[in-house]
Amino acid sequence: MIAFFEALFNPSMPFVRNALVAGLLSSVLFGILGTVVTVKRIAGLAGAISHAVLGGIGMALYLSATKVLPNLPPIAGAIVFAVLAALIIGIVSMKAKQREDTVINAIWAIGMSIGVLFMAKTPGYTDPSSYLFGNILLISTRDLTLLGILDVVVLILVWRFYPQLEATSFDNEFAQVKGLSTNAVFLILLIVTAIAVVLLQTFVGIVMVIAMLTLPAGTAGFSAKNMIGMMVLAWLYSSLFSVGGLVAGWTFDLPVGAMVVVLAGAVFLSFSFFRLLKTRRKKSTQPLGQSPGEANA
Amino acid sequence: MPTGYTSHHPDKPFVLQFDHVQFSYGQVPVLEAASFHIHEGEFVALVGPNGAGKTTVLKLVLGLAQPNGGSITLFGSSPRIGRDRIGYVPQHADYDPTFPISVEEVVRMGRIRPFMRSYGSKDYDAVRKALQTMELSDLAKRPYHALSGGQRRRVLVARALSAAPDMLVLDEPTSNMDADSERRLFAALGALKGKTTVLIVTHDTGFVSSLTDRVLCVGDVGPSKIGRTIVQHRIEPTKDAPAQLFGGDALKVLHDSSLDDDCCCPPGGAE
Repeated sequence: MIAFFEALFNPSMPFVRNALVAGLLSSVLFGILGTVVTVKRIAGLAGAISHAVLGGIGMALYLSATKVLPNLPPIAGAIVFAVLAALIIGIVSMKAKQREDTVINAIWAIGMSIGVLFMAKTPGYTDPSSYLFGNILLISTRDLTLLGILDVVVLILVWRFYPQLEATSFDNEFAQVKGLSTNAVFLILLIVTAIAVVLLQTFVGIVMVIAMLTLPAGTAGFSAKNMIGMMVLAWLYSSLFSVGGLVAGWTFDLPVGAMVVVLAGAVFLSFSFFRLLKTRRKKSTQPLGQSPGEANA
Repeated sequence: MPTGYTSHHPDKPFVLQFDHVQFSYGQVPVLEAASFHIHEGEFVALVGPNGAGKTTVLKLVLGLAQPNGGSITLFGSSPRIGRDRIGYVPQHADYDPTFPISVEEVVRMGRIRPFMRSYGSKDYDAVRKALQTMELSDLAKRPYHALSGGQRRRVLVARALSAAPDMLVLDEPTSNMDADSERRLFAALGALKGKTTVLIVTHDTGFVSSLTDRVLCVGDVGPSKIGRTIVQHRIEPTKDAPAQLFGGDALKVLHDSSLDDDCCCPPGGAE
């Protein structure tokens, strides 16, 4: 662990500081967007968007390497694909009640396949694993700036529209009857999540973004009393997992993204196990035929 | 006056009117030439077996679906505008069971407005009043998911009441409800009777609450026998109803009788 802090303050290793800042900035999005994704039960949709991003990355790498669009950064292609995927998935989810799963899974797989095909034809060696599993060496100052801007945008949106976010997440139909533009809320949420996924993949990778959008929020859900509490707690947990994963990854020379996810998964599963034990104990001490709700009515 | 009417309000204006409404899901016809109306202050039951099209009628009333033909008028406007004055109580909130939220916060949601930033003191006063009306004040701080099914349903009624609606629309309010919650629910609805228009949707086609003024039945085939239509049936007091139903006396629905849509109105309508 001491080695990590030495590296952190070593002027010749700026990427360690970048990784730490990226982890802390990512935690805001993991906590807040993760809570909404979890309570709205749209993790599958977010998963499809995150995987489709590879298509955009592959395309941008190809166009840049073949000089069609020189210096096109992979992140630009990723954002285009992510937003397109979000719009298609969002509209299908709102309009088509049948075969929704098929379309979502198709976008997931087609996006990844397009990425693999473009990378195969990109001149020179392209390793998709750094995009799939994250690579802290690739985090640039520009990535940090973009993450910071998105953090501020998300915080402002939540501050301004919390009642609408809470109502549409809890009972979308009721919110619609109350005159809320539930479709607009849903599409904006998907687009913000899509952009977030692109920026977050630099830290944990495309494959593991969805884990970090659900595990800290799921862990927070065990003790949070309301949605805002869940957001704050999930933010806190995400910060702990990010910093913990970074320190452990550096100390044991292991991939940081995977380390962060393993840490978040272990804590979530432990919480689930203790909750199960607690529920069983409560049931065995409760009189027969009485539900917890009726006991205190 | 037709046999079985307990009371109705033909002198009051219409709050809801279906005029030859037609609706189909793609190629599947659901409603055909459905016409009915509800007067201000009436307590109306919309009954019909499962699959008859009750949910469709509800969606049309709430502006969640658009008719293919005919017209729907709610408080003198289209349902999308008029629904602002409706308090809607769904059968159950389609929510994540682990959603962290208290009873008070669920009820507070009834006060939401499209672009509001936060709830104010007026909202909290209305929430307190709605919780009192539904006898839920003691449970205000409890997590919503920890309540029994019947209690949760009463919370959803309180959520609808918190906005002081002119009309309350309840979808299957008593399905899977315990007797105590049912008694409390109908006591609260009894207190609203005459002041707030109430539309209860139920699949129980045999009996309705004694609070009911009129019964509308979805299910009879329409004129060209492709879709269902809506017919008004007579109701009469009965002693055959199970004692635990509706927290008290029930009325029997006479399915072998039907009344004209405008039978309760003076010539020329009540508008």
